[in-house]
Amino acid sequence: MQLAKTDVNNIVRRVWAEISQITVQPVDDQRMKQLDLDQAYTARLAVTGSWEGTATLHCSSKLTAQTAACMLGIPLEEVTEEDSLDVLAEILNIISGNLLQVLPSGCDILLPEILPNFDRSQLLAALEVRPREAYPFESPPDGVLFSLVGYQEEKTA
Amino acid sequence: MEAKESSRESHGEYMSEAAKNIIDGFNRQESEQPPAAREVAPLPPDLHVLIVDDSRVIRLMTKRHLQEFGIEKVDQAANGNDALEAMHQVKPDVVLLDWNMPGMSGLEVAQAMHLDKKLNQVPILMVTARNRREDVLAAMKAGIFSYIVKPLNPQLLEKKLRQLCA
Repeated sequence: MQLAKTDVNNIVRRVWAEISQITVQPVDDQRMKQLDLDQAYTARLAVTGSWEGTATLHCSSKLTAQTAACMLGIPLEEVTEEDSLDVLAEILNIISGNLLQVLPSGCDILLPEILPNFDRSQLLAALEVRPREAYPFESPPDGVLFSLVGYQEEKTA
Repeated sequence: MEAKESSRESHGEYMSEAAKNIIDGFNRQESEQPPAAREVAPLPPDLHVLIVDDSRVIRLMTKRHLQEFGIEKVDQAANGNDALEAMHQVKPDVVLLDWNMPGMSGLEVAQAMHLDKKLNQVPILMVTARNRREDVLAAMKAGIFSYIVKPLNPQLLEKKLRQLCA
């Protein structure tokens, strides 16, 4: 799926800022390779209908916790892992819901799920081949990677 | 698929005025006015709000906003069935309803309320990430009072609640 980068970047940035007042800035493909996502959570949801694929959001566990702290109005040390995972799934849900207006008509989104032991290396390798499907961000020093990959595109990669 | 240019400008070209007006997510600037400049009605302190959202963090965050508006009577439900059950126990003055939830969707909850003599007068503010006109129109058909696109803007929520109480 090749959407206008500006559309996706604007939606991700706006959602993050409005939900938590935290700024995430888009970074280029070169910087994406350097993002530290080793200590990260991953959420994914399926897009169905006229275009089928998955939207995936990886976010450093520290930034996820900071976002949860802002949303809940509590100190960072009081944020639980459950809070963080709930926040990540909800952010993905909001980003994807807002993306519906730029996806082909007839698309719908399903519920997000958390992928506890997701192996990012495979996805990162695939995105290196098809960088237009990757939307990397950072809130230094923490990284965020949003991707939108079609099932058909996945098969042909 | 070809790369698309930004499609925001074309949004709502063939929407009805009512549908356009109901999507406040696209009209955020109106919520940026200070409260004194807006048409306001005081929020009754005993206003009873039911928040229905499967995200615990969203429920807590929304409850915090409501408390900042002076609303203390806030109940929560994590899914549609629990929400309907709770409303049959104690009827709220307004429901803040998420759309994407496991089990019954928010739209199905709104439709069930619409057909329920006891609940069909309870105003619903749909609070959802879904921002397409067909979703708004479907929600309107189900009888919702208003539609707010997530991420939730607390000023807009306050304004909608004030309009509801006017």
